[in-house]
Amino acid sequence: MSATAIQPSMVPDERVASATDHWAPRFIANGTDYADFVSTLARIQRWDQWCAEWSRTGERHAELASEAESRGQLLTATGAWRRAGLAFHWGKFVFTDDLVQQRAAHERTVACFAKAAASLSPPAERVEIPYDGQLLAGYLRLPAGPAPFPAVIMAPGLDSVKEELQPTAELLLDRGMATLAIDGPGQGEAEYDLPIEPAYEKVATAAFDWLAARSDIDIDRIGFFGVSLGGYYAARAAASEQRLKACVSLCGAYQFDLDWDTLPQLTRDTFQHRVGASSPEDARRAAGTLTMDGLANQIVKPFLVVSGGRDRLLPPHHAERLAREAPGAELVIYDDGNHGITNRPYESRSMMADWLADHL
Amino acid sequence: MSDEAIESAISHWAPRFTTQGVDPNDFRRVTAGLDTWADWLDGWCANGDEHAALANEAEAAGHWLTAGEAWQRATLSYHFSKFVWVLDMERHHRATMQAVAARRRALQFLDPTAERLECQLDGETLVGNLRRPTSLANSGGAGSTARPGLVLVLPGLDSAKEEFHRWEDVFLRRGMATFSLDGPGQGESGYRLPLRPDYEVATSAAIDMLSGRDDIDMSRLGVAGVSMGGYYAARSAAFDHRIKAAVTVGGPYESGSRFDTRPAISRDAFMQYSHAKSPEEAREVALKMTLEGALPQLTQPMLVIFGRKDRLVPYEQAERVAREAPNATLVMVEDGNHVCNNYPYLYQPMAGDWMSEQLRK
Repeated sequence: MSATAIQPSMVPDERVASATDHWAPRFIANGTDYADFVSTLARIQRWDQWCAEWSRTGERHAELASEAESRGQLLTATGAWRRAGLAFHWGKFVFTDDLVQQRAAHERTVACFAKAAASLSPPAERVEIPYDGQLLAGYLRLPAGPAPFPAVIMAPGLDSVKEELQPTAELLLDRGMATLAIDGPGQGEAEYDLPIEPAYEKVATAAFDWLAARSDIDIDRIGFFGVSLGGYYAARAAASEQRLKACVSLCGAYQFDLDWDTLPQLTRDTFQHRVGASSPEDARRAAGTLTMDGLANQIVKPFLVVSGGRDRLLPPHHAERLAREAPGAELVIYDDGNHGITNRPYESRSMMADWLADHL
Repeated sequence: MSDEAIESAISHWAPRFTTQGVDPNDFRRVTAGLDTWADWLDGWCANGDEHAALANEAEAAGHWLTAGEAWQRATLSYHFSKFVWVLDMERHHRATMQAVAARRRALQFLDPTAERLECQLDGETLVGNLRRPTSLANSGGAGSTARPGLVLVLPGLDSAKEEFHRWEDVFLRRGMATFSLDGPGQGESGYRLPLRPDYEVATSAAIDMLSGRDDIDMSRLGVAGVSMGGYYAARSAAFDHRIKAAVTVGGPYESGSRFDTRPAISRDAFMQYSHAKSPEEAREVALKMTLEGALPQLTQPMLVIFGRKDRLVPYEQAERVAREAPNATLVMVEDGNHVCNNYPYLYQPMAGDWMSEQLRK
């Protein structure tokens, strides 16, 4: 062996490479600084370091936030709390190897974001939505201007949380819509008690009822937005919750087991964990129950289906089939778009936000 | 395979582009498609055209916010197409004017009260953009009265007022107004007037022009400069005491000793922007750019932010600035690169908060 051979420990392992490869644009589009991403990744060679190193980045921002707070620099503190929460979230998002570590990181996401919430522009109010005898945590934000407001219920996917959706929420808020981002079953704060719910329309209905009880929301102008697995949830909601006026499904699944064998291992492991399956085989069976088969044809309301031609997690055939079967659907495919179109965030997000504003 | 100049541009400037608002995916897409440095301008202009097309579509649909944001991305792409690219000055000029036009359009939607203002220097026109804070929410800060204080935002060797939307926002969100100036050798003013070591004459001309206004409080005036703009900010504060505070990020003490060790594209840009006929002539100009003798007069509060890993300006120069200016504070970011653009979340809030405190009534 030559003296210059690369040390095995210096080559990122497969799961680190996979996470980086699939998700770098997503991290940045959702608020992580480009250089921060690069410097955090440079410290990670093995997957077992993933959560700890992102948490280290999170702690650094939390320190900056505390320092700014102690000097009375509210705006600076808010930005730093937000970046801290996001870094902890990346540490946690598909890290199922050490559940104690994962949960600790997630608790820091929730706590750090909560410190930023009241000072965001516009502020985010933490709310609890009754659902099936439990409470789902959410963030409600109201736009500037006179009430009542149109509103959009926002659903995360398999590995995202209500906190991660806020940069997207801000495009909706800028266009005059209120946003309610929730942690549903299998997501964020609810994932410890409630497994993934294939019939997510039940969650949509609970969120709708909660919004409808408020005097500052216009009940006739409520929409739904979901990304990734949340895009499947958006389709479920569109098919079954008739009071929703318009729905957006971004890179969602038609049926979650269709590409099971080519899904990254991290995604399959995460699904197995969040759905409460005891084996990979069970997980695969459960994935098959997340389907729009026989339901898509009930979507007659305005329904925007967005997909990326280069989506390697949920390729565009999901969106094409959904749009073909749903009478109300409008299909937009970004030819070079990745999963979530986070490689064209400005284009895709403003398009979806404008579409929702036009339809609400 | 990219040539050396491209490699140099990418490695020095990726964090700067993204900090100022270029989407990192765009940065990767555009630079991956370039073979030689000669292609740089066209590659970025094509990207600018894509954003301009999105902007026009959004305008046609009445989506004003989307249009404004797309115009701002077009602005940055046009601006960066030519920032140190001086191979063909006709195309350089065209790209500059495209950036100026796109920026005007962006401001029309994103900040409709922004104003394009002109002042005179040596019979030629300098241009700047004035923006005012929309809310005075940051109570207790510099904007706690109806008339906000003002921060003069100065570009460096290769920047221009069009680059600064986000940098202006740092001050605007803290309640201060901003005036970004294209001074001698910069942006659209640079074709008429070469860069000059005594840049303070331009800043003073801008202050004279702004002094008559009743919507900003000129008794609370600060100056902020990045890179060579840090040198300009220090000169301006030293010679014009209407300025009450100065913040510099990545600013040099002098330019002469570094002239021959600069990256080639940066040296070529210096020659062009100083309207020099030869490298020797440009070196003569660079040798006159020094704060020696000026800093003792800079008695106002000054914050010097610098990255120890700066590859364009040695960090010792910042230490010298802070030592010789009587009222300066130095913040050295250990891992920071040129202008600390690899730590935007450190230097930008730090500069904004510090300036807000200095300009507090």
